[in-house]
Amino acid sequence: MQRTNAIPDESLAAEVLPPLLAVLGASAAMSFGLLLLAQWRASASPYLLSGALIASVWLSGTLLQRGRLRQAGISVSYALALLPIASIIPFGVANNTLIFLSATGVIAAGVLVTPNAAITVARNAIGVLMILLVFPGLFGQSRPDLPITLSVGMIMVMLLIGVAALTWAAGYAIHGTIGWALETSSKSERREHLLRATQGDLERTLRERDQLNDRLYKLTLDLETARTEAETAYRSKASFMATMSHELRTPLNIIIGFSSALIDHPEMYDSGPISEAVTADISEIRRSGQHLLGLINDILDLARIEAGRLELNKAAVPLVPLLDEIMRTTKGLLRDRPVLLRREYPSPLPSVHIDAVRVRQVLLNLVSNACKFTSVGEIAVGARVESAEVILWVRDTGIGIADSDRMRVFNQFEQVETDDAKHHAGTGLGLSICRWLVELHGGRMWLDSELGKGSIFSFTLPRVQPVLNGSAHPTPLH
Amino acid sequence: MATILLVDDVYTARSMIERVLRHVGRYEVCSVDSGHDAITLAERNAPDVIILDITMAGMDGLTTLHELRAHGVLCPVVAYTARSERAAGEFVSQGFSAYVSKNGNLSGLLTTVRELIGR
Repeated sequence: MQRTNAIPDESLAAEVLPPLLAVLGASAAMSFGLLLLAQWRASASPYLLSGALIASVWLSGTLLQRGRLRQAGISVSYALALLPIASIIPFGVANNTLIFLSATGVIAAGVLVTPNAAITVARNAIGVLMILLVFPGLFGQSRPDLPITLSVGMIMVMLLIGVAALTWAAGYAIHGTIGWALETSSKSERREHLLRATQGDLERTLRERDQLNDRLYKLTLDLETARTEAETAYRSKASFMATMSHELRTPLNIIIGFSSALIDHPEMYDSGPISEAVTADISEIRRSGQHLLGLINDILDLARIEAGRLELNKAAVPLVPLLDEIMRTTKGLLRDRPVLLRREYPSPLPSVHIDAVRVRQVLLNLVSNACKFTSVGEIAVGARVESAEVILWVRDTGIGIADSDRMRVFNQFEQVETDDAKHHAGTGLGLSICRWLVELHGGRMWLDSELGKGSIFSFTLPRVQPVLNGSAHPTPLH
Repeated sequence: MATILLVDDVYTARSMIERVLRHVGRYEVCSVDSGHDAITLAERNAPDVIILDITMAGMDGLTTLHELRAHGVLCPVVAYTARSERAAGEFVSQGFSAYVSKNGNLSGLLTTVRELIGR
């Protein structure tokens, strides 16, 4: 508050002082001139008063020029307040109207210095007045009547106190207003500053957003490129797989074909009977060739399943003919082994919504496994109808699978290590593919087994929905 | 003696099947390595059965079948190919008389050919 008030005081004083000083200087010089010309007296005190006024105007002007506004204001204020009172010395108290001019000094102090200065100046002026009134003979002035002295004294005290109080109050109000205006202006300056800062932030943010947008755009382009590349790679991989599968199968077909011809149709060669040792070796060539062919087929299936490219050609398929075909194949696989083949499915069975080629593949895989691992006992192919699905199974009395291995058999390339299993060629992919195929149909596959006693591989297939109004899909009721 | 036309672009495969058909099946066999030659020969010789490889360089098996039919060759045609993911029924629906998987099992091929000639 103090600091902010000092500024308008000074600027106000700087504005007000020069004309005030000019007026005072002019009136002092004029009164001095009048004294010299018209009202010459023996006493020197009027000249001293005029001289003091001129001196104080000069002092004030000098201080103003040096920029000491406060001191200039104080000097002028005291001159204006005290010199009219000092006029008592030459002119006396009675009929002396000059003394009332001292109020201007109080007002000047309030305006030019501070509101409080008005009170200080008034107090000092009253002090000087009291000294002059109480000690009339001090400077040789005439002794007035007591009533006049009392009345002038009271009027002057009231006047000075009243003017000082009003000046102080007015000054306070003005200073308050100026302070408020200053504060408001500094506040608005701060706001403007804040606004500029915010605007700067906003602009920076916008620039950053633009940069981010650019980066996003670039990333999108990169992503698009990467996607195209991946698709190209995928297409070339798919076509590579197709070509490779053909290229691998062609020579294998010839290896197996010639092996078969040598074993099954030796008469083709017109060279008499082939020895048993040679036949055994050729059988081994054929067996290995078939194993390799199975492996290639399994790997291609798995690659297709994992790429999500294996599509099912689903149709409503009657189960009994399919299972009968599996039974015939199993019979061929068992040949003259002492294994009993059991049929554990009723006839008729409902149709199932399946890809017949793929479900045949699953069943063939299961029965060929069963035949591989069962040397004595029985193998059964079965089916049972549940509410929404059909459960199919292949049961054997083979070597069985331990509990700890039960989940592993469905993993890729996992073959349960037993002394027996080492005699049986297999890719370790078959069951993994079977489970995939069953799951692609919306079914599930599981194994019940006991080591040494046998295994049951079961899986479910969804039933064909009952046909309503001759349509494959139920029609809503209207 | 029944005549069989064998179409396969792999020489060794062709010679193997040709020998089995000739020595075991006792058929008269002629073989070619492309669909174009198959059409020319089929038109001239009128074979009883055609064994047609599906995956061939140049004209593939399916196109060859359509060309054969377009040229008025109406004898049974067997689709003979490496294991295909397509169902056997799909080949039949495309116009083939039968489908035999190329897995080295020559007895299966012989059986199918015998059935088609016996019809």
